[in-house]
Amino acid sequence: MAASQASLLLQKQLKDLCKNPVDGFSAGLVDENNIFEWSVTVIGPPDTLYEGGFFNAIMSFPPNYPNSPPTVKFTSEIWHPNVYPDGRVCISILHPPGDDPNGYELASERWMPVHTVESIVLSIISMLSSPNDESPANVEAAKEWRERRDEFKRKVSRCVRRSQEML
Amino acid sequence: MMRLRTYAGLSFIATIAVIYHAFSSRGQFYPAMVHLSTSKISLVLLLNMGLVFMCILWQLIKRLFLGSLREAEVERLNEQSWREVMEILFAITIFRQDFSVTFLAMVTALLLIKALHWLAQKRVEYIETTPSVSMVSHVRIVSFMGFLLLLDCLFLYSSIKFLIQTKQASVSLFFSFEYMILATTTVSTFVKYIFYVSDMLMEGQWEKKAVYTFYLELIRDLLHLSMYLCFFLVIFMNYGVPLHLIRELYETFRNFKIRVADYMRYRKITSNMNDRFPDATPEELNASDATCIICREEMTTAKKLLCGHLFHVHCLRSWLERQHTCPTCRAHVVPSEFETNSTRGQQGPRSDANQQGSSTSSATRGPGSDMATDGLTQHQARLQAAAAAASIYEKSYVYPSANTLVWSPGYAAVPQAYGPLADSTKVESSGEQTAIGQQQFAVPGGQANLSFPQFPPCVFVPFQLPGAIGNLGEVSAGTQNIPDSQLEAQKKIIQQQIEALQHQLQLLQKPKTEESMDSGLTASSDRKGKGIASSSVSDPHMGETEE
Repeated sequence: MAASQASLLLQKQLKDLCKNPVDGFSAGLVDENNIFEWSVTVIGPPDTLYEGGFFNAIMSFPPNYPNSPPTVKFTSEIWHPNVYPDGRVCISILHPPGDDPNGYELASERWMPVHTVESIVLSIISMLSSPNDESPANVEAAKEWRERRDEFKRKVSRCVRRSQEML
Repeated sequence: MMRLRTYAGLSFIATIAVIYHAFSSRGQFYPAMVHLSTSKISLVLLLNMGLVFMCILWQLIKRLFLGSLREAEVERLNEQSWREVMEILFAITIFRQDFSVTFLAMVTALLLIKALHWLAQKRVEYIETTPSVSMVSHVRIVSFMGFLLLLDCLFLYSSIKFLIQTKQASVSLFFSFEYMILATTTVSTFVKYIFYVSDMLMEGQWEKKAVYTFYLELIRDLLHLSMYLCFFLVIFMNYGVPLHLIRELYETFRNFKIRVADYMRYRKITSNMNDRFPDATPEELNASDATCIICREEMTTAKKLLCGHLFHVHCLRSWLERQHTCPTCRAHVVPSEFETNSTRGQQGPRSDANQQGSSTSSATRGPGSDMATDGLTQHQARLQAAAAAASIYEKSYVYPSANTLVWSPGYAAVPQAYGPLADSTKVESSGEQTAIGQQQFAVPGGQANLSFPQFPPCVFVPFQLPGAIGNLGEVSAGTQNIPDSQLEAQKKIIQQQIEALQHQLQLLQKPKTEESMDSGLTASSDRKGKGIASSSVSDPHMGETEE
């Protein structure tokens, strides 16, 4: 219904981000002609295990953005309790509005139309700095994060190294 | 695909071998045929060949109309087909006296045709949510739906004809019913697709689309529900309990109920949107930076929600289709809903208090206007939204917040979930809120409206314990219509607060060990400048570290 509204809004955000880049990530389009697919590079936040990493992700917006959330998928390898093994990011603000059928999240923690590319990426950065092992997407990683922190650190630093090599 | 090919190859070889064997051992055509149809092995192999033919035909149709399937479609296919196979097995047990080769063939055909219907639905959904679709795929999907409808009608016609000829209940009943359902599904999918296309032709300006889509689905569900019921009764009279229908019947019924309830709520809110939500005055528009937070476009006219946030009418409407809360602060848009929701979670009281508080006092109209008064740029405002988002993520466990404290003349509540006293941050926020709340009797709490408690200069009173109590005393004395029981409740609350604050004082004197735990988040936000960190008191931990 609102494909044109969505593309206008996304174009505006793209222009804004080009004009005033935000520390911690860079964003652009995957394909110049498709405003609904963004390519984002998240810089691992300092003083965390992910420091120094450059993680690429694809952000796909639905045509009815901002009424529905985009999906974010890391294309770089990343080991994190809240990232599915295939790279999809699992954070509550990216879940469609309404009550969680599983009852884990309150409606208040889910998608709101005020979120922008910037606010989403900042949430992801915040997710990197403090994983939530309560409802993990990658159960293996969550277990390691909780019980075998050394093993977790080793895997993360390998991801960080690999992401640097990919540059 | 590869598997199907080898399977087909093997079946073909086996069939040839059986036929060859029949002819070579019997010599003549007629005895060979008799042998083929009586020997169990050859019969099974021949039937298997028939199945292979059907599958190949199915694959060809799929190729022709859909091309290669996407991952989601394959997933759906697998998931649905298992369920469907189970149900068809149930159906076979009911119609066991009609069991024959034709019956088996018809059932297989039905299964395959159903699978095509699921694929068609999924593909239409995909086309609807994809921004740029090529002409070829439009032509393909339209012809595919036409083809399916034709198929449904043919089968429906033949089974109904058979029913009329024999004039007695048989398995044709089952088929005619199934194809009836399939035909209506195809028609509704097609109409949905037409809606989408016409919306596209209008360049996305068709505001009524959602409403029409809703009606379409409502009618479809109603039709299905009545058909299922009819069929259920017919089978029940003639055969016994139709096990295979129970799940579908239940699901259709539940969907229908949810849909109607949703719609009622939506209608209630949007039917009188113009009256329910007041227009924003020019001053209000100027006070905030007049940007609609949903589309980030300038607003010349706007609607104001109870919580004070301003939006375009159409932006607001499209969001309300999904959820009935304010897009910025999640306050409920309909205050009457609060009564029912307050028991369900921590949301309710907060929003109502927020609504009451902010609508009575123009000074605290909400974060939007506060931003403007503080001269924050739009960029900073967005950073705040981002930080708020980050804090939402952080908040995987629930803070019992000050929202349970509500004092208003019409409504008094004793705190239902007054959190553990050790939670110093919570008590701190409730303290601040008390100071603000003295003007309006309501103590707004919670994350969203807590965002800028210290900014509005005219409202902010530096928190002093005796002062606050004095103010509250004045206030309650001034309001004659508060019953004694409510005063009692307030007294209790204040006493609790005093205790809590003393406890907090002790805590503040101790070195705070949890601070280090939060260093991660504060680090990421500190880099964004003081702007967020100071504004996002919405995360209590941040506020604490700021001090």
